[in-house]
Amino acid sequence: MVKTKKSKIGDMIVAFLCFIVILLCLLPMINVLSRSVSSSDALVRNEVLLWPKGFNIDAYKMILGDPKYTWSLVWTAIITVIGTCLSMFMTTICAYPLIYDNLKGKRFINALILFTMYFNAGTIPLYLLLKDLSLLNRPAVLVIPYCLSVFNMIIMRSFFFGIPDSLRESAEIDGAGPIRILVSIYLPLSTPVIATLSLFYAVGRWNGFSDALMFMSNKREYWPIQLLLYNILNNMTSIEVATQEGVTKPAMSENVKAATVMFATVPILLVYPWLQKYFITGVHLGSIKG
Amino acid sequence: MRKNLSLAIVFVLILSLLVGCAPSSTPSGGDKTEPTKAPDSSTPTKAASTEEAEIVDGRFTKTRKITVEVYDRGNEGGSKPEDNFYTNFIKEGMLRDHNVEVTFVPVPRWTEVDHLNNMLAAGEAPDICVTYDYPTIQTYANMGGVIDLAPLLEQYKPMLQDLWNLLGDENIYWNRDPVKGTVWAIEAIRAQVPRINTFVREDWLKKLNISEPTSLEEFENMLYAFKNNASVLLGNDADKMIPFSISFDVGWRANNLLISFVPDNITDEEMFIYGFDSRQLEWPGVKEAVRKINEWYNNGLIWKDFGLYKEGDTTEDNLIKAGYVGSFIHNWDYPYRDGENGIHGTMQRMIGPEAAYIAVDPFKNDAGKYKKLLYQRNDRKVFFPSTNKEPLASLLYLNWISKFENRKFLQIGEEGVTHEVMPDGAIKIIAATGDKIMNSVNNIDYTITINGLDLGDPSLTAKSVALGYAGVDARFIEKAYLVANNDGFTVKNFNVGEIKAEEGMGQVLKEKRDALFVNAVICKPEEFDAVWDRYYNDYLDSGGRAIQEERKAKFEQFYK
Repeated sequence: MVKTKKSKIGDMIVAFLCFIVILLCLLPMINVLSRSVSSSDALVRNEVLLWPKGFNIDAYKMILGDPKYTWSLVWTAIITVIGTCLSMFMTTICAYPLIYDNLKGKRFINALILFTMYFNAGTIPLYLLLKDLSLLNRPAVLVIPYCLSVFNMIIMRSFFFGIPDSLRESAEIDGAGPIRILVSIYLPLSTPVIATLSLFYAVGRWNGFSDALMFMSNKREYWPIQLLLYNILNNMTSIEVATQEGVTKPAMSENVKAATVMFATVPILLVYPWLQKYFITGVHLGSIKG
Repeated sequence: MRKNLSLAIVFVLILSLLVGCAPSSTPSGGDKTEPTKAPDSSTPTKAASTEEAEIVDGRFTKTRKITVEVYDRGNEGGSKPEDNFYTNFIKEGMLRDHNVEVTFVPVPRWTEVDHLNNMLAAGEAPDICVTYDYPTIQTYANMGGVIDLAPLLEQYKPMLQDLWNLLGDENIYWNRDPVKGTVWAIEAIRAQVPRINTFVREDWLKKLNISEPTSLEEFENMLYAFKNNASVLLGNDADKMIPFSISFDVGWRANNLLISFVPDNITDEEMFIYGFDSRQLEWPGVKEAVRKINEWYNNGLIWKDFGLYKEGDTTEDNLIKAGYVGSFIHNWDYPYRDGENGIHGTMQRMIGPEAAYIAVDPFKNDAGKYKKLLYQRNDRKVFFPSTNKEPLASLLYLNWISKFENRKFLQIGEEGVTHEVMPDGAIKIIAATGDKIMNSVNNIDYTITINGLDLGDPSLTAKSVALGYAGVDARFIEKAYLVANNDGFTVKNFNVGEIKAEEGMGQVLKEKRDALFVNAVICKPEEFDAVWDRYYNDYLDSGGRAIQEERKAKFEQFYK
């Protein structure tokens, strides 16, 4: 296909806009990276923008030498993996039955599920509920309460809807039951949505700290990395507390601060390229004759 | 069919809404039943005779159990706040002296109010709670969730002598309701009350051969001298010169200047009525002080970007550390904090041993006094939720923690581990690691009835405070301490009970106030009056006026 001059210009504009957006996302990351490997004196003089000055990796040495950080990182990875698997399982088994037209009370169930997306009881009732379920200060509280997101479930359901019924029907004719159809037909055709939703869940778990803050306050060993960082940064920068108490605790040098941010961000970034290959839509195109 | 179905959905939705509401109303409802049973004041009086019979020489005959809130700061290298060397010291002491078993409940420091709310609602708050947020206590007290301490204090006063010696009637009855006489919380005492100081670069004064400013005029001349000699003082970085630095929180960062414009004859009544704002925005004279800052700003004496950086940002601190700032106003010991990463430590490393800030006292009021506001002598608020079944044991805990030897040990720890004794008897705190590390300065998280070092002898305490800054020559601290207290005064505490108009207004008015200050500083001098009036009226209309009026009415009701 030969491109017209007009569409070439259009492509260039799009590419240029994308480039700007990429730059906007990338520059702050590069800035933090440079700060984390610069000397703290250069940071105080505000001399570091995109290129490190006074290169050193002491900050990383310090962080990696502290078992509190490394354990917290491992623990966060554990809950991210478990949480994501559980969430995907729950999302799938919730979305799948809803595509069947002959499901009794489908509209009603849909309405109930949707209702929870728009209304929730608030923090204190949730706290009371978790307390009565004896989940407070237990590792499970970081996984179970938020394991199903209605929004993600709806995305999945819509994707399932997009898979032609005729595929299902032909499998049914061949004698496959609903579970077999799910495993053999729907899931293999849904890798893009599975990858996307897994990423949503994983990033959400990785970045999550408010649930741990509220429900895991007594067990420091189960604090995810974000909560740990939240505490450390607050410890040094909360002016509110400094004025209340009239004192502050020793400050952390700027490069260590930047290094902790990198430390908490990089692992989850590594997941993206790994999932990239699944972001290929249209796998099922051509599986039925049009 | 379809109609029926949608009706059914509506019905179920309403039902689930009701069900959903039910648990959220239980906490308040659940608590509400308790005050009818209590406000716990009657129960202990009735039970008093039996209670006292069970106590011999201050010891319960049967072991009692209480839980105590402790702040969890999640600090770098810190120990578990609920289980370490110091908690063991308290636990052993309480068991030995009173036969009371103590368990600590950690509460994250930065979200203490949210957590406390959750725990109070769930009915599982510790027996002894601590917070800086009195409105939270008031809210739960209104719902019957807090024990009235007044009858208990009266009844057990003879057993609580150490608590009384430390806090006195003033702090114990700080929050007494003027009508009903209820005491929902007692106030801890703040041992160190210096608040804000003015700092200038000592080495710059020497270089330019200027003496320390002792008046606003001299201070102003000094700022111009800094500006005009930027190349002498900063060499190649001359364009980075900032003679005077402030932040978005102008009210705090110029407070000594603001107070010096307040007429000396301001009465306690006026200070109270116009005293809602913690930066004294509503006090007479403050506007003229801000006009002065506006003049400085427009003459290029102030950091241009100050309003852009919000709380917690370190940009300004870094400018100070890098040595570009000639003077600033801040917490009385601000530049000396934080050891080698602090302002003093960083400047010594990056600029040289002569680089240092020194506290000066330039701002005189109309009576020639260097008046500056001190902290009030109250600190955290200690209260017992109505789920507390051991009010006497809890009071004995407060008494134990207030006993001089106990709190002194908690504040300074073991000799050779967390402190050393200087030849003149002063105590120098040294940083410990491991189990004996202090998670908070002077262990204030355990000494919940006192904040700040108190060694009994004031001059010894002052000397010891001066030694508490690693790597800083004690002469700087001593000067800062002296200057910050010079002509210092506090706002008198008038106990008028709850002021309804203040409820929930704190954050809103704080933001209005900061916007007012920042805009009044950065506007053109000829627009100053218009800008000030516009923002100030906005502040008043948003709730400030209602607060003033209610404070006035309450003051007249109880004190006239």
